[in-house]
Formats: sequence, C-alpha cells, structure tokens
Amino acid sequence: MLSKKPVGYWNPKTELMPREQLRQWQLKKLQTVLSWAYDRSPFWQRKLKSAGVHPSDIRQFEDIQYLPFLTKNEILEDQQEHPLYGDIQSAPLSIAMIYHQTSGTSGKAPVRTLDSPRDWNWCSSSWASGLYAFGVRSTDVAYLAFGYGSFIGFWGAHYGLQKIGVCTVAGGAQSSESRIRQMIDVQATAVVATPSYVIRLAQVAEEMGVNLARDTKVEMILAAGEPGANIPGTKAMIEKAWGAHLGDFAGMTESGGIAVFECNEKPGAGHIQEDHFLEEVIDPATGKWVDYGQKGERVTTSFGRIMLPLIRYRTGDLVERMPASRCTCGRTWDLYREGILGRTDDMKLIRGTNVFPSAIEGVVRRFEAIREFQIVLWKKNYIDEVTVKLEPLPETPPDVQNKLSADIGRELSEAHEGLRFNIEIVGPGTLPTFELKSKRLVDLR
Amino acid sequence: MNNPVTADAELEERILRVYNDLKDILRREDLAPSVRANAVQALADVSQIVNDLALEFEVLYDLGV
Repeated sequence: MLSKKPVGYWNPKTELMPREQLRQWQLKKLQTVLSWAYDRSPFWQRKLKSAGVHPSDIRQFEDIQYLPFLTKNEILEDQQEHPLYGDIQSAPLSIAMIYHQTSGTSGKAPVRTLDSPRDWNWCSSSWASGLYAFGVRSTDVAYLAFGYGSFIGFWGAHYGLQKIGVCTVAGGAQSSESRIRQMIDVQATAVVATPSYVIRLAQVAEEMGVNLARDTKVEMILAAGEPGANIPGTKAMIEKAWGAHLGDFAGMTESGGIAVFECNEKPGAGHIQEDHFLEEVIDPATGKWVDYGQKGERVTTSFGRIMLPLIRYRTGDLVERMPASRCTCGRTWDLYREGILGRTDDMKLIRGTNVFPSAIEGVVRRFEAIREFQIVLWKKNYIDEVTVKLEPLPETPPDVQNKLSADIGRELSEAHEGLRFNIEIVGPGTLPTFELKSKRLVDLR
Repeated sequence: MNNPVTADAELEERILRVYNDLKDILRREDLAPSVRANAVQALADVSQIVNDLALEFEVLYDLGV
C-alpha cells in the first residue's frame, strides 16, 4: 500500500479561484496575447484580418469562438516560407534565451520555438505548479532519465523541480543500467521519464537483479511525453514494479509548459492548468464545442509562450473534459478524464470499428506477464486486419502463453464491439523498447 | 484586472512596487551588462509572482524579458 502524498497548493490564489473570476482572468490574458499578436506578428495580422476579426471584437469569454483555429501545418509552412522561425514570431531572436523543437516523430520538419527569460520562467512555473500538486517537495531528489537534447522533453520539468527547491540529477547520455545504478546511488525519491521508458527501466532492473520497490528510495514517478500514465492497467503495472506513485503530466513543445497534471488525489484524471492555458474541447469535424463527458479534440491557447503566439491551436489530442468537482482536492480547475486519451489521428477504422492504440494498451497492460506489445495493421484479400504481437516474460510456460493469447484476444474483442483481433506470441527481446515516445503501432496497409 | 485587493493588500502592493521599479530600471539605457542581465532575470521572476497573484499580466519583450 503506497502512502498518500502531501496535500498542498503551489498557488492557491488561482488554483482555488471561483470559476467566473477565473474566466475573467483568462479573458484578460487572451485579450493581451491577442492584441500583442495582432500588433507584432505579420502572420497573425494576416490570419485575423482574413477571418474578419479584430482583437477589440473579443469582449466576453464566448467571443473566443470567433477566432480562427491554428494548425501545426500552418506553423510549419510559415517557418519554411520565413526561415527559421516564421513571421508568426512576435519578438526578435535577440531576446530569446532558449531554443527547442518538436521531436519530429511524425517524419515532418520540426516546429521551432523560442522562449524569452519571462516565457521560460513561466514554463518552469507551470511545471512546478503541477509537480507540487502531485506531492513533490523541496526535500526530494529527482532523477531525470532523458537525453537533454533540443527536443523540449523534460527540460521544463528540470527547471520546475529546481523552482520548488528539489535537488535535480541529470541522467543524460548513459545506459539504462547506469541510470538505475545512479538513481540508487544518489537516493533519488522521484524519477522523471516517459511511461514507456519507466516500463523499460523496470525490465532492465529485473535483469540486473534489482528490486526497484525494495532497493531504491523512489516514491514518485513523474511521467509525460505520451499517454500511458493515466491508463489504469499501465498505471497499476508501473506502480507495482516501482512501489511508487505514478503521476501523469502533459504538455507540448508548441505551447511550452504543461497544460495537464495529476494531483495527489489521483482521481483518474488530470487537472487543466486554467490560469496558464485556455483549453477548449471541440468536435474535430465541426469545430464546435462539445459538452462535459464527450470526447473531442483538445484546442489550447497558451498564456505563457507569446514569442510564438499559440491561439486556438488544434493539438490533435483526444480528451474528455470533466468538471472540477469530480476531484476532491478543492481546485477549481476542470479535468481531463484519464489525461490525454490519445491522438485524434491515432484512431484507426478496422472493419467499421474505431480502434485506438491507448485502448488496446489499456487491455494488454492488465496482464502482468506481458513484457511488451505491438499493434500491426495489414490487409488480407483487401480487408483490414489487426494483429497484436505479445512478448511475454521469458519464464512464461507455453500453456500460460496460450491462455494469455486466448484471454487477451477475447478481452480486446469485447472492448471493441466484437472485432476479431489476431494474437501472435513472439519470443523474448523480439519487440522494440523505447526511451522517449513509443511507436507501438505499425500500419502496413 | 481590477482584481480585489485581498487581506494581503500590503504585500501585494509591495510586490507591484518592486515589479514597476524593475520595469523602470530596465527602461534605462545606461545599465552595465551585469545589472541589465540580472534585472532581466529578476523581472522575469517578479512578473511570474504578479501573474500568479492575478495582479497584472503584460508582455515584456520590449524590455528584453
């Protein structure tokens, strides 16, 4: 049984702010960002003029719906037409203090971002707010297991932890074995990594004969970078392997900071940082707002990074919004059920049924004997097929493997309107493992 | 924002004074590099305080912050 982490608010002024007052504060920030973008960014001036909107038209909260959406492709095209940073930039390079870019996992050119001293301070503040809510305190020692490259990754977490007063240990370019030895050596109480890499570290530790729950002082795992930490089966598996609380944090390079965090109550949802972001959930097809409890695409406006004004940005993240009252922590900030559920473009249509990789993960991770998995989409006689490759733990006997195959196939089918899944058991070490964002879906169609 | 001044009115007024003083300092053009660099960092920090307390929200790029 994990002991509960301490309750506390990083900034009670806004975390407990009544929602109507919060809306007014958001409106004031939106008006400021919008006016600045219109005056200083040629891209935004063109975009708003072509939409027939002037910043002075935004007088009340609901008026945000008059503003056009921004897409990643627009930013990429602008940055290619006006290298390096596009004329979306609203301030000169001379005041930037740090450069980042998107991970480029989609195979496209990266989005380039700059932050001023104020913007970067904000970025670390948004992380600090979420980390503190989960229970991180100045007495902690945090081990950051990531590569410290130009991808924003956990840079914000690094500075957010330091803002709280945490002692940070940079686990940069080294092997998983070295990282495990180092986090034991420095007596780390918190580990920062992607969910996939946290699972990988647990596997490597087992191979080394290290029992993470017994041999380390880790009490918290602070995960971001991909869905997983709020998928119940994945969360349970990681928390058992590490003997530690697993927290889910979500941000993106384009906006800076983190927009969603899990508090110490662990309500199966992530709070939206509503003083730092204005978040909307829309029907991807119509662009209209959807109600609480309906899945839709997350649209974000950042109040922190204004060098690249990110206003009504279509993130492609799939979310389901819930009212703040669904969590007992007292914050007035709304929630996303299970954090980021996946990507709207992750959804695959297989023989008329919607299939999300995160939903498959949710089933597979309930089975502790499965070490890794991979989803393969292919065609047989022009008909879509889905195969889930399962890599059991090496010592799993053949009869148990057969039962796993049958049980997982049945549960996947039940979770997908009776869709038939092909299950293939593969040998130890066959499937790839991941340090940053995982790629468990292979589409051969 | 016209945010109501709370029970911490005196504290909030002092923070706003520091914030505005730092902005005034950074408008000067005769600052030594070390003074400017540290004043920029200080204003970045204090601007986050006034932001967190919902007292003020401004873009400070013209001051290099």
